[in-house]
Amino acid sequence: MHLRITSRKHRRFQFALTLALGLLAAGPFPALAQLESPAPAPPQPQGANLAASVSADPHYTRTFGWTIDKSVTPGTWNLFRGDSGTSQYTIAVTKDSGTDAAWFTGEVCVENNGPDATQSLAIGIVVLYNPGGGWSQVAAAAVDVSGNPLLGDEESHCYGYSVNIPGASISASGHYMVGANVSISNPQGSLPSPHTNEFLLLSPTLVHNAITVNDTNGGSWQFSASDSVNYTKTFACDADAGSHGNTATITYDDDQTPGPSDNASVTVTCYALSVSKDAQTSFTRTYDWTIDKSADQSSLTLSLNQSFQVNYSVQVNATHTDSDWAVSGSISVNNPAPMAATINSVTDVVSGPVAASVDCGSATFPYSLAAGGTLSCTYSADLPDASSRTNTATATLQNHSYDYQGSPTASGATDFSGSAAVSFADATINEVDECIDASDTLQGSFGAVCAGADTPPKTFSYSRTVGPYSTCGDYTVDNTASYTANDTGATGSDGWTVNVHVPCSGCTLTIGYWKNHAGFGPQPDMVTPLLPVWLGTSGGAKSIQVTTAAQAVGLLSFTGSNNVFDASNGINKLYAQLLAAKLNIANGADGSAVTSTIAAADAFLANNNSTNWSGLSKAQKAQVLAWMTTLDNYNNGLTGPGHCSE
Amino acid sequence: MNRAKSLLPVLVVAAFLAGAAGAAGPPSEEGWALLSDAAVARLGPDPNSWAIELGSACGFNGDECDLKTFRFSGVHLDKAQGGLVFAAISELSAEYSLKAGRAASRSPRFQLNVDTDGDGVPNGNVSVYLGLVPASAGEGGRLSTGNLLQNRDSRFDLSEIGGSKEGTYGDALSLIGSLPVLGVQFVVDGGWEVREGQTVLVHSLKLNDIGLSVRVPPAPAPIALE
Repeated sequence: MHLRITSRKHRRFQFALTLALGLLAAGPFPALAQLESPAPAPPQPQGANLAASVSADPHYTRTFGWTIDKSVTPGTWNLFRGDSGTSQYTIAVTKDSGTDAAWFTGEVCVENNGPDATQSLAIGIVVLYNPGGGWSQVAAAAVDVSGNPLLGDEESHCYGYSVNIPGASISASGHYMVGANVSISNPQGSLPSPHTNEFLLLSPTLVHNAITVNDTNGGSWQFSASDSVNYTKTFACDADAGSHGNTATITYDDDQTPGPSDNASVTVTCYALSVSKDAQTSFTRTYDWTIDKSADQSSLTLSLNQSFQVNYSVQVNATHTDSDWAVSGSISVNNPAPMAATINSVTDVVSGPVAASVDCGSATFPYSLAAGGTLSCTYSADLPDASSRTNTATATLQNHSYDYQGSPTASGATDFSGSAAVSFADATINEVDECIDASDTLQGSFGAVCAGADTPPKTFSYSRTVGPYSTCGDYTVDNTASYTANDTGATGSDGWTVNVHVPCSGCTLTIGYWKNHAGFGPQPDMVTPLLPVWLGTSGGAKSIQVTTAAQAVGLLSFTGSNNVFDASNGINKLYAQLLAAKLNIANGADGSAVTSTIAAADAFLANNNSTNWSGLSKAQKAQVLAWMTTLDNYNNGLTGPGHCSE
Repeated sequence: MNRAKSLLPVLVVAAFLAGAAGAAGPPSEEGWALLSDAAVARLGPDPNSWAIELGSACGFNGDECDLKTFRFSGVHLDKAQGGLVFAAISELSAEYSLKAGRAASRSPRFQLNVDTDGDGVPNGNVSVYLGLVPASAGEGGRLSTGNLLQNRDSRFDLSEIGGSKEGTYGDALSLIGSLPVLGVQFVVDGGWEVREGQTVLVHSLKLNDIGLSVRVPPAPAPIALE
């Protein structure tokens, strides 16, 4: 029996046939033939009488395999900030010739016509194939009966199956038939072995015949055969610095399941020029000096042969004016990249703004700065004042766009900057006239005075002795201090004049003066040349002849005639003032104002000395003190010719 | 420093006068006297711990002493007045200590007032330095000069009377041996050069037998310099 299957819907046939064992033994079911009893048929025993049918649904597919390969050129970019590079991606897919598969699915339906239930029910499926020269079994499979392993009396059940056809036996032009062998272990009345009609597989169903490739970069392409596509992607610095992975994945169009994928990666390294600089400041400080001379005396009245110490003071001071503020320094442009950089220019600006002059030596722009190289420049700028500022150096880089083959196209420029603070706190000071040489017509050179080191104002003090003059009259003592600056030679001076009057009628000096001009210490002995001096009339019983300066100092110090200091002793005080008066007169002072007083005092002291003071009457004491006062006034210049400078 | 006037009830500065050996004429009634700013100072609790404090100082104007402020002091002996010739001085010594400052500017020193023309007025001074010329004295604790007239060093400044600035005792003896010495002073007057001033404590002086020492009287009595 031959059946031609023309469509899938009509391939499935069910034959409810009950075949005799003899028929099976003569047919193409050798396995079933083994169930055939070689002995004559015994009497029909009691047991199970089975009937069965088998259905078959043929399946025939051709499944295609795909591979994918993704690549990118270039996969690495070294770029400067502002540069860009375009990489080209290639996606190639390869489709194989396909792999065929065929199989039957269906059911074996078994009916137990009783009277007994089945024992050890087993069903085998066999596939018979006839390529044109005869049938042969090409596949067999056991049917799973575990879902209902026992069929009771009058019970029926259908068992599903699937059986594959070996590849070598798959042919669109071949004929196929599916049979089933049903067996039980208990006595049976009949054992069915149904089979289907013949099948033809015809053309296969194509699986994964077309694909779609989806790329994580956003592209999507459909393929039904081996092919490739290209696309490009541009990377820019610094935005795209880093690694950029990318995957293309196959999706099968028929079942939308994913297939193989491949990836490609682009690594972008961005570089920046490093610009560093320093800033050294300087300015000029010009000093303006003043000199001021003074003394503690501007006019003196001196007795003949009197000298006087005048204390002079010379003060020099400096103020300064700053100018010529400037900043200068070095600029270093370093290229850390593994490729050369094209530098269009190097500029420098100080906030304000003030453009600085930049000198990069022999470098000309555009300048190719080698990989890892450094371009060294210097700069300088004049500034209007000492304000703190910021100094910024800028190197301008020529940017490029690169295609996937590495060919560059100039495209824009990027500035790279470095800054330094401009501060005059530690500026180099170019000093002008910071030192002077000071001198004085009396004292000579004071040496150098320098601003800073000598912390002006600086004062020089010295003393000079004015006098003595042996002739009365008027004199002037002029003195001038001056300086000369060390750089510009600027000069300045100041003078001081002491007017000296030496009266011809003399002048008087106090007891303090005579005490300090008695040969002790540095001052000349003005006393001894005027000795001896009698205190009391000459030769008087208690008169004192002063013959030594030391003796005079004692009397001028109120130690009296008994060498006992007692300033409350009126006679001691009279001794001191009388001695001073007589020294003044001996020194040339007109004594006419105190002539009578001296005479009276001398007469008194001829008979009285220090030890008599306590025994004097009040009137006598008053008289002694009156003489003393008169002489004190004389010595202090209140009477007589007037007072000498002391 | 206490001025002697404030010590009247408790202190007597006594000079022991045994006579002016070799002096012509009658013994003088006068002895050692405090000169200028000299004062008596108590050194400690010991009743006999007293000395004559001699000071010299000056207010400085820059590097210069303002002479208006200059002070000096000394001890003066007029005992020689009246006829003590230089050759008759056999012993001249001092025991002293430098309390403050340093020896400088010829100070401290002995000063002898020499009358070269016989008019009874000194014509110049002979300075006798306590240390080597020009240094004046050792510094530190109490020092004793010993008899300066037996010293062979060039301690005698004879320049004011026509001799050498660095003369020996022999030089002095040759030059002024027969001349009267009208006064003798122990002087501290270097404060015009020593910025920190000079302070010298004099414990004793001796000119021949004319000695000076400081003692406390057994009972309160007016201060007296004998």
